[in-house]
Amino acid sequence: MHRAPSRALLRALNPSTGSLICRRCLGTASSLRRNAELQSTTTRNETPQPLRKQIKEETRARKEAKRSQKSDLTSKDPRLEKWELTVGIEIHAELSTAHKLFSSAQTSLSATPNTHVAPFDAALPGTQPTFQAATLLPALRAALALNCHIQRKSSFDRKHYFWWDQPNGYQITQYYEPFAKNGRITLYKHDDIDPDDGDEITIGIKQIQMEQDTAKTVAQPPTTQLLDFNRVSHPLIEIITLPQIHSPKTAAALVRKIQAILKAVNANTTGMEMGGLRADVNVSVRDKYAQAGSATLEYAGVKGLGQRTEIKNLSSFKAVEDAIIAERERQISVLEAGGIIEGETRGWALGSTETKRLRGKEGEVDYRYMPDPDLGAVIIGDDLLIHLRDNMPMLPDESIKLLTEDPKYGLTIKDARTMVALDDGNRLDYFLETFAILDETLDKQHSARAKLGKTVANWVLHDIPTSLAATDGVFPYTALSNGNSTAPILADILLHMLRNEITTPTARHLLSILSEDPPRHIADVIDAESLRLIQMTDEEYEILAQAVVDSSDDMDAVSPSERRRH
Amino acid sequence: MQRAQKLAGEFSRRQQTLSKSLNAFIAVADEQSLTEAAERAARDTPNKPLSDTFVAVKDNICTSDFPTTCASRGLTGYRSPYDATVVSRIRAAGGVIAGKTNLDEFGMGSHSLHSAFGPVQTESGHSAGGSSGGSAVAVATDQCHVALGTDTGGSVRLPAAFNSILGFKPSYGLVSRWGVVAYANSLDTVGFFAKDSAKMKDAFSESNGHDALDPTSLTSATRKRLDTVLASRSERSKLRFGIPEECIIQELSGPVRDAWKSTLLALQKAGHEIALVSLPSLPHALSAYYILAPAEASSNLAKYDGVRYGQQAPDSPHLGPLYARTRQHGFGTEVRRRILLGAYSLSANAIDNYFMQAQRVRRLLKQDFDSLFRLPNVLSNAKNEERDSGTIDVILMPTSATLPPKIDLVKEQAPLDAFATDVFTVPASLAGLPALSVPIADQIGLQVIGQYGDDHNVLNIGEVVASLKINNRHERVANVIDVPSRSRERRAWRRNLCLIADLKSDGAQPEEGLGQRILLHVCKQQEVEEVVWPRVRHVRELCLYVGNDGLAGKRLERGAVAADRHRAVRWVDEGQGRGRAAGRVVGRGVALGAAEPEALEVEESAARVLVIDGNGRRVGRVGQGVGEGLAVGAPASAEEGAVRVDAAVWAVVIWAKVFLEDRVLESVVGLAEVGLCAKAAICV
Repeated sequence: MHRAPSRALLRALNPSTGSLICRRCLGTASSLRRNAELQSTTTRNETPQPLRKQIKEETRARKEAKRSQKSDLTSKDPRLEKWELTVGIEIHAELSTAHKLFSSAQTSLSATPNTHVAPFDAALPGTQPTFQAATLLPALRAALALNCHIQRKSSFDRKHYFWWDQPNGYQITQYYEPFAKNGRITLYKHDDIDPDDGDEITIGIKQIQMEQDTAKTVAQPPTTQLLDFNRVSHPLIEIITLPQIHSPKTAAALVRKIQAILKAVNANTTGMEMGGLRADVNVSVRDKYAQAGSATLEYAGVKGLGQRTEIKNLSSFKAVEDAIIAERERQISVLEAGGIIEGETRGWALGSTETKRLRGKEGEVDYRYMPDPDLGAVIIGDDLLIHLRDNMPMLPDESIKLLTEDPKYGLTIKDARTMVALDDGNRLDYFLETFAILDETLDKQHSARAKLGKTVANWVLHDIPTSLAATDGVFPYTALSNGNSTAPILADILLHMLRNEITTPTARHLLSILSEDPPRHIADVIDAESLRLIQMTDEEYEILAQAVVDSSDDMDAVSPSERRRH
Repeated sequence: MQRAQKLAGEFSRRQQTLSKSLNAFIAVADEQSLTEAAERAARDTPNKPLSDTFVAVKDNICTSDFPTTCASRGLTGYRSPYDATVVSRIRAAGGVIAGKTNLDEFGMGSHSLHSAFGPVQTESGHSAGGSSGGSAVAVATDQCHVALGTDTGGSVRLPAAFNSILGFKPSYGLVSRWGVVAYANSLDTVGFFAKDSAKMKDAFSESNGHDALDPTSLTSATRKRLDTVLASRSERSKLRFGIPEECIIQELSGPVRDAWKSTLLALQKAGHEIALVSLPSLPHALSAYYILAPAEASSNLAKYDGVRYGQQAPDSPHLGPLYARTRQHGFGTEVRRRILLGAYSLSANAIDNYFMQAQRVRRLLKQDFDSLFRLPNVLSNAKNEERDSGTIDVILMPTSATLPPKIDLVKEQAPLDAFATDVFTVPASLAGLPALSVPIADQIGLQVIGQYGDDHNVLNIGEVVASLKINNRHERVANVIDVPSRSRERRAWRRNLCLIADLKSDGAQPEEGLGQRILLHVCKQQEVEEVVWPRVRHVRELCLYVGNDGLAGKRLERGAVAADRHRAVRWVDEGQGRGRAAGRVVGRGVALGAAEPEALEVEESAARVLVIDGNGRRVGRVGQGVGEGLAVGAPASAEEGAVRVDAAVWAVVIWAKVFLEDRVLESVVGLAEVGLCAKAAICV
């Protein structure tokens, strides 16, 4: 007899759960499953969830169109043929530390205002800073990740200016002797750099310094400003690149990549999205064909530059790119009209088309940098550096390399990049953990081993988010109640699936357990809900099939080939 | 307990009585509160080193039970939520806080006149000194036992000297500054006032200790190292006192010079040694201080914006935005002056020429000091073996170049004159060294300055100096000189009279540690022959004096030392034998004052005039104007020649008697006189 697919039978019997299959029909079953999957993909295309993919593709198409349009522009715009853009970037990143830079008060993101303020943070008379050595660790990890030379001895300086969010009247920073110098960062094609920059471009890091954050101002219109000193003295690092960037796109890619690296080494976890990372850009243009000597300025050892302007406080990657484009256009227009660029500080508002002058040279603040007389030098020992180097988390570039080049994982570059980029690297960790458990528990000769990496990646990147989309939930990295990783649960589900104890749809169905609090035990659920594939004899199958046929007048036996035609 | 109550009552009543006339306190407890505080201390911390000790606290040190105003209008009524570490330690040791004392606003001033609460007065109408004037007056007038002050450039030592009490500035980093309102943090040091040396030692010892809240507090590890270094030092009953020749300046007033001189003589008499030493960077110290301190002040005082605490200026459309208004309103003129000075010297265009240079001077000065002391500096990086070991135990120099001026006069002074008051106190501050001002005469103090960390030794030597019996010092000095050398005692003293070798190396390597100028003690002429001469090379100028053997004065030409040395000594003998002065003039720098024909060969370019009297008789008259205000005493026959020395700008008198008519006005002796008498001694 030609067997009808059990799925069809099942649907007729119990539309909500369960699947029945006869062991002897496994061969068919696997082909059936393929079909089912094929089918389900098609079905998904019709349901709201695949919209994601659709949107993604549309966005990509749009981007590509834009890019080609832009490159058209570039090639057509004679101005950019003549003028070369030069950009240097300063990035301020809040360090993820337990304590403030100079007091034992805790760092906090959303605590009740003014509840984490030590006497020194409020600049009470008679108080002194106490350097919290532990804040050095994330700063050093960041500096090592950016290939910096760590200065054995560094020191703190005071930068003076009056503002109500600055209780001491100065910010403590590292002006004369920063803790890290002479680093570099390499950007690749897959980091989305400007095509003109080729396959890769390396940007020098002039220095990285540690400094204090300011208080948060909460405006209460019309005239009241409330101050929250919780943020005062949060440790920051300022990363200063050399002026070696010549495209807005690459500038944005650089900021994006630095953010990813800082996240990977757990130096900064808040990113631009949460206000934990801000960028200032220095922009200048020069006439490529002008005779030597016309652009004579020099910044950080880079010679022959035009007059630069600084655009302060950019808080998104898009803002970095757009502000640089706008400022480049402005400067070229000024120069072509015979004007001169003034050294000034400019601002950029989101959504605007041009930068706005904030203050010129005459309004420049003289910060009166002075070595802080209270704080001694910071001496960094080689043993600490060796320890940190040996225990460095994997950097995004290394992770991508590992995921794509190690045959164990065998991911595509696209999946690898997505994996690394998602959720501050949490997704990658989750993937690696799940993979490691399966690698351990799955039978050595199992046929699924060859593609285990891809399988796990698909579940981690696609199936789990898809199952979440319906409930609008966050990715269930950890169980709510105890904070334990849910990776073992996922591994358990996948193990059942790969051993053919449950079907793929059942496995997907079980994903909801990841979000449960507390999560139920997988084996229990499978048993309780009768989800396990049951061994069935031919007789049993026949009885079942007969029951279905009998229960429905219009049902005939359906052959797989017919199904496929549907 | 009863004693505590009794003392509380006495002090409180005294404070009330004197509050109007002296204005030493900004805040005092009433009698009942003070008694309660005393009882509490007696109950909670009985039998402690500072039990029943009433301690006044300068009002720039935070206390939780009194306001802390820094004598600034901007901080009027400010109450610190915490006690300064030093206050906590004093309380833990049984001390009772007796009140908060008046000061120059934020510690900026030398006469305690710049206070929002009115100037500090003294019973004599003289300046109380500053900035811790209130603390000094409180101790001097028995309103408390001990007082805490802060010393940034002399703010404890100067008022101590002016009020004739002990004032101690410990090594920087020993006493915690947590809770001490910063004026210039790299210099600020908590200091102590007392009349009684034992109380002073107790207060210091109890306050001394590492504090994790103060990042500049000396670490426990360094303290241990310091203890080891101190323990390994060999005990010596004879001390060696260094006299920095750069302190011998023309501004030194007569009484201060006399007090210093007679103390030196008394020390010599007691068997101690006196050595003329050099701190070449010292003349720049005051300038460096007045760059560094205001620079740090301009930074430290930036926090007083009235936003979080303190007084905000009343709204006024004329005074500009909030910050400017508040700071204009809150700070007095002297504070504003120093903030402006500091803001300027830190500005981008000036910092290299001012702030950075001053830091360099400070480093040089530290090296200068380090090279003098026998004890190595535990903070210095140089390994002890590599270090040229110094020879002295402590430096002894005046705390102030002058007596305290009348308050009315100070008010008429230009700010720069007030700055100059600190000329002798800032060096120890810049180098972070322990310095004790010991009252040596009415309103005159001498500073004992020791190596870094040698604080207890400084306090002990202070006791030695204070215990010297120096009465009627003018007469005594004259006696010493005039008594014939038969007296054994006198002879010993005369032998100890210093042999001065004033050497200027000719750019060539000085040998065996002989630098440009050295001082050697020689007891016998033989030692001159055996010890001094063989070491002298490449000398441009040399003057030798031997006490009871008479006097040799000779200016030798470059490289001519060895050849002429016997002659130099022989001349002395001849001079004495024939009742004539020996002297010689050669080139730039002259030895003058002899009846020798050479004495007339004074060149116009002479930079030095040596006035020499070899026979103890009248050799000259006062009032021969020479060069820039110099008067040189010269033998009658040489008068003409002396007058011809009109290009002289400096005089060095080694041993001369200056006569007015036939009366001995002044006898000048010994190394301490070098330069001291340059203008003053002879131009009586």
